[in-house]
Amino acid sequence: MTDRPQHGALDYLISRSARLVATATDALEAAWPDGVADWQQELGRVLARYGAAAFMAGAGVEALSPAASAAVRRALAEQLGFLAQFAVEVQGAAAWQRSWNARAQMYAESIKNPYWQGKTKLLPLPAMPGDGSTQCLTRCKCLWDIAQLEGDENYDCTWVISAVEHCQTCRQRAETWAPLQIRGGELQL
Amino acid sequence: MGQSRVILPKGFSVDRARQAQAITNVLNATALAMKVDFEVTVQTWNDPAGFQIASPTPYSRTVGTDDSVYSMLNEGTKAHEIRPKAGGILVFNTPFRAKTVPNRISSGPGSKGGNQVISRHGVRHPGTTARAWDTAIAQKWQKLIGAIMQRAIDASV
Repeated sequence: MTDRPQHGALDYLISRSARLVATATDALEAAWPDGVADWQQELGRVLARYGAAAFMAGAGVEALSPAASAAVRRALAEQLGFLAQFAVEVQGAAAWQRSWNARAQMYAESIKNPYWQGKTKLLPLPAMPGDGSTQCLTRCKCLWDIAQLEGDENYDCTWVISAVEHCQTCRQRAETWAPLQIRGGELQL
Repeated sequence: MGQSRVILPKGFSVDRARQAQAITNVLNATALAMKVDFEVTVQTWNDPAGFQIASPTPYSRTVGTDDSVYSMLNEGTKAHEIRPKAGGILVFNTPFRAKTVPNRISSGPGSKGGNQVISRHGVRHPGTTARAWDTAIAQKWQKLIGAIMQRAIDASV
């Protein structure tokens, strides 16, 4: 049976978190060079809350298992690392840069990673949409189409490119990973 | 001389088959991801090189090609003379624009140029800067392998 992913919940969560990130970044722009630590903390809070929600939406569950919690925490820690570097850059700059507003929005997009981890049932796949491994980085709008087959741990996993935008990496994945096969829990070459 | 002893958590058991499967999945996933990146570097070529994944041992993977043009571009060439064949002339177009650039995992449209040049004596080719795709792709996935490994472990427990 094909479990064709629905983007509705993810789009909703991204739009909500993007609004919060935009509000915090606009406030920082007004107060800059003050307020960097508060802004960093607020973005961290948004990522923690919406990252967990994204995983649950992807997995279709209302609570996180220990393994899921660990996956969400790891995804969050990675983003907080990038955010800390960004904050150092913002604090040390001579003037506010317009590109920072767009760059901050990429953090809202980063909740795709936990969403897809939930959606793909923690399968041993090579990459996740929006994990930064494509030319389109976190703006990636591709998806995994996971078909669970008969038998134990058998899946066909197809990388599906978005109709609206796709980079060279995504186009190639759609051609080459069509599908990737997992048989008995083992990813096939 | 000091002594040491191993302390294992109680009730902890290692399923060796699942452990082996996790390692295999990390290797296969990383090889599959790298193969796609190699394919991206030839996506716009008229005659693209093909890439294969091999498993020389159970715990190693290689991604490679037997395409000589790809190898030449990957490694670069020294400056060299290009002479017309005996009794002939050399014809080529300018301004040439390459489809690829060094250290970039991408390929563009490129251009062979619209102006024809004819030379009786030949030209000195300045050489080709190494694209070093193998290094760029290895460096990229070196940074990303941690996430692949974690997914493989999550899938195995």
